[in-house]
Amino acid sequence: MFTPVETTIGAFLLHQATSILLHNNGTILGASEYMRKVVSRPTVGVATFFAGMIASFPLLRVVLPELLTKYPPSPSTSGQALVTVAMGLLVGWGTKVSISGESTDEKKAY
Amino acid sequence: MLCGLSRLHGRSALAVAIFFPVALITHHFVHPSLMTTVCTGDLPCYTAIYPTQATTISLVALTATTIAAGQLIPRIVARLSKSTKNEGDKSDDTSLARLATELFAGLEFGLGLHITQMSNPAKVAAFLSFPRLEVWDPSMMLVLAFGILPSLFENLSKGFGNPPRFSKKYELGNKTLADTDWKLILGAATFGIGWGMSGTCPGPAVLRIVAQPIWGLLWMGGFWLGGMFLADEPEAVMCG
Repeated sequence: MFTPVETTIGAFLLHQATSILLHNNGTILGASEYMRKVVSRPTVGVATFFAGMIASFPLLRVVLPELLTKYPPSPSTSGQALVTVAMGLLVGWGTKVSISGESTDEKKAY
Repeated sequence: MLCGLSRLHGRSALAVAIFFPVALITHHFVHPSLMTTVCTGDLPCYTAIYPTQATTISLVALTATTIAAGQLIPRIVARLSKSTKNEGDKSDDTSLARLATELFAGLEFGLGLHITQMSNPAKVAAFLSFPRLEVWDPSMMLVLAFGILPSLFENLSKGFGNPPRFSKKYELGNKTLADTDWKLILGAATFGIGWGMSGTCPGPAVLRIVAQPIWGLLWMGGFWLGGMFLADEPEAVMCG
């Protein structure tokens, strides 16, 4: 159902997240980029970002457990497992190839 | 999407203009009933439901505190880093402030995704059920409005002429609308299909890995595999 209050407030948090990263650190908040970096070129910065994201779970559990995400069941058959992999594949390829060739200075490792 | 549109980045706008309709069509095709778990009861899904007063108070308090901390703590850290430097020490005193920023950006991002429920595949799917209005949840429109518009105004007023607070320059990527090629179009469309089918994009995926590690292993495996099919380099933003 339409949740105007929660979504508006949450959206402002999303705005803040992108804003401080952009105007403090000068970087784009790229979730797919960070996900790849954590495997290929892990940096303290990326790890810290993910630590922040993960911290949202215990924080909400204490303050607002009713707003924690309720997920559909985890895949339990091999068919579902394959579909999940395929979904990741599509998103993984799509996000990689659509920005291929973009160059930014990668000298900072924090 | 969040970062590109708020900079009026034509290339981002094009990607969004491609993946949204593709996702919508995909969702209609793959789930023709358009039933989702977020549409409950007999009322049409676009009917608003409101949190309790207790929830609202906690939510506003949590949000205000987090935003204030995200704004203040990195600056305090920067000031402390500067003041504890020795005479003549020319080393970089902003790296701790940058880390503090990463931490709060991650926290705000995670909280924002949970609270808007963009981390919930069913919520996303319900938005993509447009134009069947009785099963359509318009909430994501508010994400576009209140996630992007404040950033847009901020960017327009601040501009990118001066360097960011804790870094020498902005790293915004160098491609423009003029660089549009089949990779952008096909990539955006492919993303749209994956997103339309699963209601999951990278940011929410990170959260779901924590909650459901098995799902995470499978989805991430696919994600990394998919990224290896084109050995090109750095990334920007697809989904915030």
